[in-house]
Amino acid sequence: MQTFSVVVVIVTNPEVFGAFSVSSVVTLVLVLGAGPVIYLIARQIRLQSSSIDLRLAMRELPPE
Amino acid sequence: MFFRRPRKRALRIYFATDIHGSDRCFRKFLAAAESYDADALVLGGDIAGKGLVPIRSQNGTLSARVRGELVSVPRDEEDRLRAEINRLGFYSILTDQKEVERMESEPSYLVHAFERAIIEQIEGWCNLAEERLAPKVRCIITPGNDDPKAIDPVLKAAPRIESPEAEICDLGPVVMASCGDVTPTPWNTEREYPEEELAHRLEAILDGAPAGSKVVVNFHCPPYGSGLDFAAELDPQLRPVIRGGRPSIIPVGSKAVRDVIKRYQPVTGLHGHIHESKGAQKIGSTMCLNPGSDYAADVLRGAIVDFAEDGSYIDFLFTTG
Repeated sequence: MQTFSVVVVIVTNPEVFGAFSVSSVVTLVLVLGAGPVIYLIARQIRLQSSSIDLRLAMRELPPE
Repeated sequence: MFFRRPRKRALRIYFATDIHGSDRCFRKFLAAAESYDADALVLGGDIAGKGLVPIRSQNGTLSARVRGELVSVPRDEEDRLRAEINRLGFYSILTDQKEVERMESEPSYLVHAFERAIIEQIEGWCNLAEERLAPKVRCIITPGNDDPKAIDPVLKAAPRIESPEAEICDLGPVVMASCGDVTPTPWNTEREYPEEELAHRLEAILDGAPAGSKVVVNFHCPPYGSGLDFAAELDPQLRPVIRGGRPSIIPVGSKAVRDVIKRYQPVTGLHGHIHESKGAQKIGSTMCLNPGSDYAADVLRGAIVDFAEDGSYIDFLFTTG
């Protein structure tokens, strides 16, 4: 909810935060979307040459 | 280069170290076998907690001195208090004022009570391993310098645990040489030896490996200057040394460990001891790993290491669980 409010403030105050254009939105989407895409590509490349799946690095271990 | 076929793994080891009495981390360690599909779990030493905290019970209130701070909670919050103490790497004992005074005035009584707490916990862990681990999974626990020698017979006697300290242990494609001894530390623990003597001890273990076998070394102490052994420099009062306005960070590993790795060239070196020096470093053809430790945050750091049928090392991955 807090994040949503911040986004609304940014969008409705172009004089403070700068105006949105198609290119700025596309850049934003590309930058934010690039992380997961790079991870998935890296994981696939790694799986071709390694026997260990990268997903195990952060798998939560259940103590119970 | 990117699309070469991975070699088929014949053995997967999950290695963790330095859990310092953390019950939660040990439970996670057992769960790692299934979560990571490991064939062998290896816990590389410093499994015992760092001290004993007496909890006084008086008029429905429990009070304990935790890290120099007096903490009081209602009686029904005993479990929470004990869990918090355990998280810091300490054991707790519920007792009365008379016994607390005896512990404070008689150091040997405190040492015995501490050792008893360690042994009780390890016996409990051995039973837990028996309950939770699938029969095909091997569970290897070797001591480190912070573990009193009194735990060795406890680990050896546990039917579900293997504790090949100072021995060679056959894991199929590879054999593992284990040693929890380290070079002298400021804490004067039970398993400290000068470099020369440590070198003899390590050589004696490695000389026992069958000729031509691929060896994994499970040496608690990391090799000197490898980047797996950086720790804060301490003065004689155990305070961090400040140089140029910053804490001085120095290598504190063992030259004997480094030299035997250079000479014997095992396929992999599994190390611990220095919690804050997580890393991987090649010494010759040996891949040396220190997964570090973050037991105080209830996080189990570890490393998955895969080996091929011929005992050669395939790959490793550091994990946070």
